[in-house]
Amino acid sequence: MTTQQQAETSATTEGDRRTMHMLTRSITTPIVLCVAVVLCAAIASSINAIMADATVIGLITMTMVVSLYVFVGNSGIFSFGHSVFMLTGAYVTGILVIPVLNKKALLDLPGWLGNHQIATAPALLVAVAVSMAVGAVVAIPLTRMGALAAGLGTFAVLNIGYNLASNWRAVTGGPTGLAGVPTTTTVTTATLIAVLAIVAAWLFQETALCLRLRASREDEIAARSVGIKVTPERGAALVVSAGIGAMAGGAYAQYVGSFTPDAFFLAITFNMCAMLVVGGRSSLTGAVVGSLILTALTYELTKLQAGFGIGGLHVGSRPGLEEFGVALVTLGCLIKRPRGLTGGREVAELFARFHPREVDPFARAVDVQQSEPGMPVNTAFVAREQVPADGGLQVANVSVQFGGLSALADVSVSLRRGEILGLIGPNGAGKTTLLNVLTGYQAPTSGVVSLDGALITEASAEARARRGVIRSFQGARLFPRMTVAENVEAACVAQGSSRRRARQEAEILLHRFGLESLSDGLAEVLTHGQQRLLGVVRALAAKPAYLLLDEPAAGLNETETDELAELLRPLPREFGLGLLVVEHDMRLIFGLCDRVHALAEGRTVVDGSPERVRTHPEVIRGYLGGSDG
Amino acid sequence: MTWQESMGYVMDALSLGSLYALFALSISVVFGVMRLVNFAQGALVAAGAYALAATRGPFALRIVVVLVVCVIAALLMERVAFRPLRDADPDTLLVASFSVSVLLENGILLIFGSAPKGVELPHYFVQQVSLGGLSFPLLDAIAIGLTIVMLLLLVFFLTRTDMGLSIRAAAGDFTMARLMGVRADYVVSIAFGLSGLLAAPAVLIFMGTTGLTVPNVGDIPVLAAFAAVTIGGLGSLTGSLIGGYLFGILTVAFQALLPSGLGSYRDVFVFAIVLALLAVRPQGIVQTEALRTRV
Repeated sequence: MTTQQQAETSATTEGDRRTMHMLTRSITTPIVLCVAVVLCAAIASSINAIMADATVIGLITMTMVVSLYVFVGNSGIFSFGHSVFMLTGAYVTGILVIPVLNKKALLDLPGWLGNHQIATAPALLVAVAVSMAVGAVVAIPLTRMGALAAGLGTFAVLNIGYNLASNWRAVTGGPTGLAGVPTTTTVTTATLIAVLAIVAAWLFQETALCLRLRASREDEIAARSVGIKVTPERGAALVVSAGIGAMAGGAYAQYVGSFTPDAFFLAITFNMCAMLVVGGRSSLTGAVVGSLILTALTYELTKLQAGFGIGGLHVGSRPGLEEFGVALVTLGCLIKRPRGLTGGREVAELFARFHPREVDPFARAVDVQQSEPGMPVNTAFVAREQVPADGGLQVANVSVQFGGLSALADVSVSLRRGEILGLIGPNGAGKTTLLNVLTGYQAPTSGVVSLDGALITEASAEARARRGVIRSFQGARLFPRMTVAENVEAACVAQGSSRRRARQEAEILLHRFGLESLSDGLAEVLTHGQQRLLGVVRALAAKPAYLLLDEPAAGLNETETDELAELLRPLPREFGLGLLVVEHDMRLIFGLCDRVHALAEGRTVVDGSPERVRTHPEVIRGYLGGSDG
Repeated sequence: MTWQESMGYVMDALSLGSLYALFALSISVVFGVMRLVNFAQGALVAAGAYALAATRGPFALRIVVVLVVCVIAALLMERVAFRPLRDADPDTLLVASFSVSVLLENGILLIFGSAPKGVELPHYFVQQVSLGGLSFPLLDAIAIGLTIVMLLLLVFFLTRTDMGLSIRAAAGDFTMARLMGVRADYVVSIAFGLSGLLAAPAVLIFMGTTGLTVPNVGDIPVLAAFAAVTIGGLGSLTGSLIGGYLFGILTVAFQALLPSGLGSYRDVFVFAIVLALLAVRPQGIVQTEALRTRV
């Protein structure tokens, strides 16, 4: 067995071990939550009839909050329209299970609906399917908007659902609602549905799609830079959560027996939102904890609201007290604990305290590089070697104008595989604009961009990333509330790897760059240097054919900068990529690059060997004589 | 449809649009300085409406009471709820404002009970006038007139006074305005005060149409105003104005044009159009820098 094969085998075993570790870690969450929910339901419902009633309503509400979480928690977009899915579930189930005679008396349904009655289970399935279809339709406008506008758009969805249910008398019974739904929901079935919702939410969370979605929640622009499309992922989450919401609605209809559209309007919308933010909106644990706590609070306040006595003084019924109390707690929680009681962490993470050890990743990575020169990284990551003709990544005669201001004027640059190209210029020279044009974040006013001979001027940033054009940002722009490993894995799944494969790939890369001991920590707690390096690793995980780094050494000290240069130098050969580095640090540029392109005021000054550029009079004037930019 | 009928609908549309435009402007003024889309604007109107319902005496004095109540309620909610959340993200702020709204409405419910309260208004609020063969409620004219006056005052304030200038500076770039010496607390308080001032005429117009108030009286118009600011373009005052009137016109147009069997579905159609507009133009009609993220 050669050294390389050995290394590969050991990396795979290591990957499997890690997969097991991650699986145990993640399966803890649904198991603990389900056990807790079942226990709470069993105990509370056994006390008395009033408690049993509150338990069923609490379980149904929890199912609803889990549904809301699946969309809000994973996409980062707040929704105020989710009661519509509960409404859909309640009406569809209700209409299907009401006995035919009652239907004829109360509603004016078309024959195919009016003359049949079906059982609970198939009715629920139909309700889930209808609600998912509704979710798919509203996803079309909502997923295209920015986060805040989408949140406001969900209010429009709420209005449509409410007004439709209030007016469509023939089918929904109008403002007086539906009545005569057989009340078949028990504590057992409500518990079953809540458990099903938790398991469904967890399974969704484990998919590659959801990892991509969470990355876009953290930083949409950075997510697109590694090839995540965002819109379809958001739509999928909305459809899944619509299905879960319909289960809650169906169970509700068959518990209360009769209901009006008002049951699914602002009051329940607020309660759901309150429960989710009190628990912690970005974790499933938060959704469950929040609904448990606020359900208990609501129960107590409802008792108080009905009237109470203080020292012989009787206070009569006080409607509004319950909502007042819930709103007060929610507001207090938003101010004191904006991430909710769980801090948006899952069960396993709640107890795992992570301290970023004093790992100096740069020094470690250089060590790894020197001690294990035959690392299997290249076999796993050499990207897209089967490209027919290496035409390189090129811009030709590109100009960019912002209003009357010319940011780039007639610039042409090409980057080939296997080379390191430096891009220099004083502030405002157009370096970042050029990078944006190359990677699809800025449309040129004129000129073309081509990739290996094909025109990509019109292609979106994420489409370019999927074809191997990957960038980093001036700030690291990590996914701060995801672990170091997840940051890298998100880039892997964005390029089509499965979750399992992504875990192995991330393991290899993190080891190669000395970050493996930090894998389970949240990216936001890393030191500045560690964050910068993780930014580069994440970009590499997206399997670049062309890698464009925007000021990778910004904020690093001199030693770290040298070590970074040491790490970047072998990348073109090891990963089979072309590397473009934008930097102010002239030492880094001239020590690292095969070729340098200098810009000033949006125009090309000179493009050539480091020697030639270093001695060019205008570069000397810009950098050595005047300000260093 | 005769021309008198058509003109009647035009007046209705402009009057309803004025109400929504006032709501949308109040929301926009606050959004500009702290990225908060204030759901509690509806509760502010409820507070003003209850002030109007609870007072008797000279109408001018009661208007002053409404103004004072609205402004104080707006300043209070900023001081107590939103100031500690100044650096929170827009979604958190929106949920917080939802909480403030529920808190205020149920506070009113605890004090005044859930039974609707009648609001006494001078007779000219319910008077029908004739002008050149055209007959319309005087309230329509009051609504349009009040909105125009408020708009002129707002424009004058924003362009001609130091306070107004500091608000506009902050709306352009809050961090920069702070660096330039604009005091954040001061600017945000002024914006909330303005939103309270703009709520007062909305109270008068709205109570003129309903004649009575319940604790959640502001919910429906605030939902309409949300749609208006979203289609108009978040953060743009011009956009809010356009969005408010567009929403009013759409509502009255569907009311007038839908066949009688479908008339009650008016709001379904209006909000569906809002969603469709947003699908085509996600940033709204007037696009602002506020929502753009830089690379």
